[in-house]
Amino acid sequence: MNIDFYFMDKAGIVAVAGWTTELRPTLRLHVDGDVLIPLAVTRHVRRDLRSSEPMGLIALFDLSGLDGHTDPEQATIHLADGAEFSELHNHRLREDGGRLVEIGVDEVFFALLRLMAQRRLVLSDARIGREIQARLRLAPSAARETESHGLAVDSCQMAATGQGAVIGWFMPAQASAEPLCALAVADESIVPVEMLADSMARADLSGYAPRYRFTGHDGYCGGWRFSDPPKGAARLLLMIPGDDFRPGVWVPVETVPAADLARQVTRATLGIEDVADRSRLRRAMLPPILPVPRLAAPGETAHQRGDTLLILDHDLADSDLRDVLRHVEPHLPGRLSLQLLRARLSPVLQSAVDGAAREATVGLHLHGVSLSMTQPEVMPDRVIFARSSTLFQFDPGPIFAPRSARPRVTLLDPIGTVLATPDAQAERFVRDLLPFVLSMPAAPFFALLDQVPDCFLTEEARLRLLAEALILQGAAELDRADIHCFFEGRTGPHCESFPDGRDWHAFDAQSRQLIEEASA
Amino acid sequence: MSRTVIVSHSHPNLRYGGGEVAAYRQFRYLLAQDEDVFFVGSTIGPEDSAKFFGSSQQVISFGPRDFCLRGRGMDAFTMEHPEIRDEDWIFEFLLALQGDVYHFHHFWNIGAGTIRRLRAARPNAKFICTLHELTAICANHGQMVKRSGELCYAASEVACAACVARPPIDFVLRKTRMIEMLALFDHLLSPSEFLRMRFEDWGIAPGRIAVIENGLDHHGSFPPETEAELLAKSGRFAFFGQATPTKGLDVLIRAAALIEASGASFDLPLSIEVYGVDKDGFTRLWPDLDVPACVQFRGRYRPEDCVGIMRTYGWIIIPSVWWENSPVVIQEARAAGTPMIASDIGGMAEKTAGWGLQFRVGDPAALAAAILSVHGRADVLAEHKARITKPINLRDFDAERSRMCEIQKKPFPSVQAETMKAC
Repeated sequence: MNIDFYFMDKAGIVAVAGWTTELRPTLRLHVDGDVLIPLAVTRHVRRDLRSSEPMGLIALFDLSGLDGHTDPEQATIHLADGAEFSELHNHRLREDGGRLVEIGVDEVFFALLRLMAQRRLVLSDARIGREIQARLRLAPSAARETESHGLAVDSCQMAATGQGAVIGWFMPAQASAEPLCALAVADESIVPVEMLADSMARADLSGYAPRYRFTGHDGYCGGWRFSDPPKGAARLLLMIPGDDFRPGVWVPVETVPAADLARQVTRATLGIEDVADRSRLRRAMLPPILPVPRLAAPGETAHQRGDTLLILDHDLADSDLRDVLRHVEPHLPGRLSLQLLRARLSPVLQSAVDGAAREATVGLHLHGVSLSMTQPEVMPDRVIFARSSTLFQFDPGPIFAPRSARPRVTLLDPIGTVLATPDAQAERFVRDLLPFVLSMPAAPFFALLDQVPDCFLTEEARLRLLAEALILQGAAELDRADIHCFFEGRTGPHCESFPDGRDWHAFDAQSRQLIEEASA
Repeated sequence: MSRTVIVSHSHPNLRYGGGEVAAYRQFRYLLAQDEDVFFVGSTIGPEDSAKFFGSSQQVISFGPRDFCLRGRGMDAFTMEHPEIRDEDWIFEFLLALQGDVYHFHHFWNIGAGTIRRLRAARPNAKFICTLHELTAICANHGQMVKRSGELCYAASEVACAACVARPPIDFVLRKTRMIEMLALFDHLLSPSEFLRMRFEDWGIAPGRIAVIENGLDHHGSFPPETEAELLAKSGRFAFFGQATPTKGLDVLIRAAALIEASGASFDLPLSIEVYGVDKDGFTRLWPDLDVPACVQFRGRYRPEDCVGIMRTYGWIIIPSVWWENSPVVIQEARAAGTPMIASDIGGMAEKTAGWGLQFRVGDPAALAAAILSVHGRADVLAEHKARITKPINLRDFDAERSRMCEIQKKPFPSVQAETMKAC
C-alpha cells in the first residue's frame, strides 16, 4: 500500500489514506504490542492514478480501545500490509489531517469529508475547519438530478441557535452500500448531519420508477447542531453515494424561528416509520449533555432600590396582562420592568401594559418583548420569572416581598410533602413540569443563565433547569403555593400545538429527556 | 351630597332596554325634583356609533345634562375597553362631571378599568351599582343559560369553560376582575331577590346587595270591571316582548298549537296577541313553526302605551326560557292590574308569586294547560286581579334608594327648567 497521509482524530481513530492496486489488502496496525484490524476501509476512484478502479483507500483503526498502558502519542505504530511494515510517525499523526485537507487530491479529500459526515472521523478543531471551509468555498455543487440519482430537498432550515434539520428524498438509480450523508457548514464550523436515509414513507415518488430505484421509503431527514450559534449563512453539503469526483450537492440553509423549525421537525418525525429514528433526529439537534449551573457565590446582598425585572410568559389572553400586572403591583417594593416573552407586542398587549401603568402607584415600564431573555443594561435588584397564569393564581405577597436575597422557588406541588427530599422534589419538578415562580437577585440570575445552553424553544425550559439545580444544591428557598384549584394558561405562543399535539413546553421536556437519555 | 351622575351602558333614545330605561326614568325623576343630576349613556357598539356620530365625535348631548357617549364595542367577557385611549376618554369625561354620587346601571361599555380609575380618583364619592342581569357571573350573555340551551344553576371555571369554549383560567381572571370591580361600589342594588341570591352564591358577601325594584311611574287605580268585562278578558291573552330566543315566544306558539290541535270548542273565543314582534320577525327566528289561527301579531308598540294595552287583556304571558331578573313587563302588568302566566323560574317566579300562574319553564303543554285553566273563568281572573299590588313608583324608589345608600338630598333648582325643556 502506498501511504499518502495518516492522522489520528480526537476520538482515537487513526486514519491511513493512500492507494493500492490490491482489491482486498490485508491491513493491520501494530501499536507497541497490540495488533488492530481496520475498523473500516473505504475505497474511492482516484483520477491521478489514471484508472477507473477504486484504488484509493482510507483505512480506520480504533485506538480508543487499547488498554491504559498504551499511549498512542508515545507508542510505536506500524501499518502492516501483508508482510510489509511502514512506521507511522507521531508528529504526522498530529499534523497530516491538515495536510490532507490542504494538498490531498480531490477524491481523498471528498472521501475524508464522507467519513466525517458519517461520524467515523471527528476532525473538530477550528484550524482544520477553516481549511476545509477554504477548500470547499469554491467547490461546485453536484447536480441534484442525474442519470444515476435524483435528490430533492423539501426543507433545509436552521434556528438562530444553530440547530437545523433537512428533509427531502433521494433515489439512486442502483442500490448502493453507502448511505446518503451530509455536513453542515457555517462560519468556521463543520458538523456532521445525523442522516436518516430511507426513513420516511414517500409513496408519492412511485412515478420516478423505473428511472430510479423506488422503495416506498425514499424520504430522508437529518438533523444537526452547531455548538455555537453561527454568525453567517450556513450551507449543507449532501454527499451522493458513489460520486467520488464531486463534494456533493450544496444546499443553502434557511434561518427560521426556532418554533418553525420545531414544527417542521415534528411533522417530519411523524413521517418516520421507525420510532427509534424519530428520537435520533431530535437528539441530533441537541447538545450531548446539559450542564449543572452553579452559583458562583451565595447572593446575600440586600436589595437596594427594590427594582424588579419581571420576565413573564404571558399564557393568558392578551387583555388579561393588565390584570396580571395589577395583581402584583401592590406588592412591589420598587419599580417594575416587564420583559414579555412574546414574539411581538400586539395592540391589545400594549393597551394592557398602558392600562396597568395608568393604575400603578410605582413605576412600570416595558423593558422588552421577545421570546428570548435579554440582560438589561442597568441591572435591576432582582429578577422574577413566571407564567402569567401561575403568577395570577399564586399569592403574590410572599413572592414579591423584599425578603432574603437568596433565590426562591415557589411551586405548586399538591403532593410534594410526600416527597420531601431535594432529589425527589427536583425530579417531580422537572418530570411533571410543576408550575413555578423563580425569584432571585439579578446578577447571579444572569450569571447562572449563561451556563445553560440555548437549545430549547422556551426560556422556561432553561429556567426550570436552573431552578432544579438550585433546589438540588440547596441554594434556593423552596415555597409551596397553597392552592386547591389551579388552571394552566393555554394562550400565547408557548401553548401552540405542534402537529403531534404537544405544545412548546412538552417539546422542550422531550428535548431534555432525549439529552439525559443520551448522556446517561 | 349634591351631584348625581347616572351612568348606563346604553341610552334609551337609541336603544330601548330594561336597564337603560330604568336608569333614564331615575334621571328624569331626579331632574324633576330639582336635583343636580347628569345622565351618561352610550351607544351599544360601532354600528350604532356610525349611524349617529361624526367620525371624530365622542359624545352627543341630548340636553345640557344628558349625554350619549360613542360606544366602541366592548367584549363582555373582559368588560374592558380594547384600547386604553377609549377608557381614558370615558374616565376623564366621568371625572370631569365631579359627581358626588355615581350610580351605574350596568358596566358594559363603561369598563371595569374605567370604574377602578374613577373610584381611585373620586375616593370620597358614593358609588352605587344596580345589577340588571347576570353578566358579571355569566359570560354567555349574562343569562345563565348554557349554550346547549339548558338552564345554568351556578358558575364554575370548568363548567363555564365547557359552555363558552375558553380555558378555565380565563374564568378565574374574569371572576377576580368582576368581584374586584363590584367591591369598589359602596352599594350594590338588585331589583330582585333572585339576582341577589345568585350573586351571593357566586361570591358577593351576604348583606352587600340590597334589593329594590326599579321604579315605574303609573296612574293610580282603574275603574272596577264588570263581570261581563272580566269574562270577555278571560279569553284574551297577550305577550309583550322581543323576538329573541330566550323570551320563549316559541313556547307560547307551540302551546297555542297544542290548544288548537286538541280540537276543544270554546263558548268564549280564545285569542293570543303578540306585541313587540311581527310575524316576519317571528318567522325569521322560527321558520319551521306554523302560527295557529288564535295567535295574532300586533308588532311594535310605544312603551308609554303598554300599560293601557295590557289593561285590555285578561292575562299577560311571560314564557321566557332564561331566568329573567325583574322584567319591566311584570311591573307594567302590575301597573295595569293584569295578572300573568309566567315561567316558574328566577325573577319571573319571584315577581309573579301570589298573583300569577306559573308553568314549567320551556314546556308548551304546561303553558297550554295553564291557559286553559283560566280561559273563560271570570272568577279566577277577578281573584288574581285582587291580589295584585302596584309596583313601586319613582318617588318611592328614590326615597328607598336614598335611605339604603345613605344619600342626603340637596336641591339644585337652577338647571331644572332648561333641562326639562331640552329633554
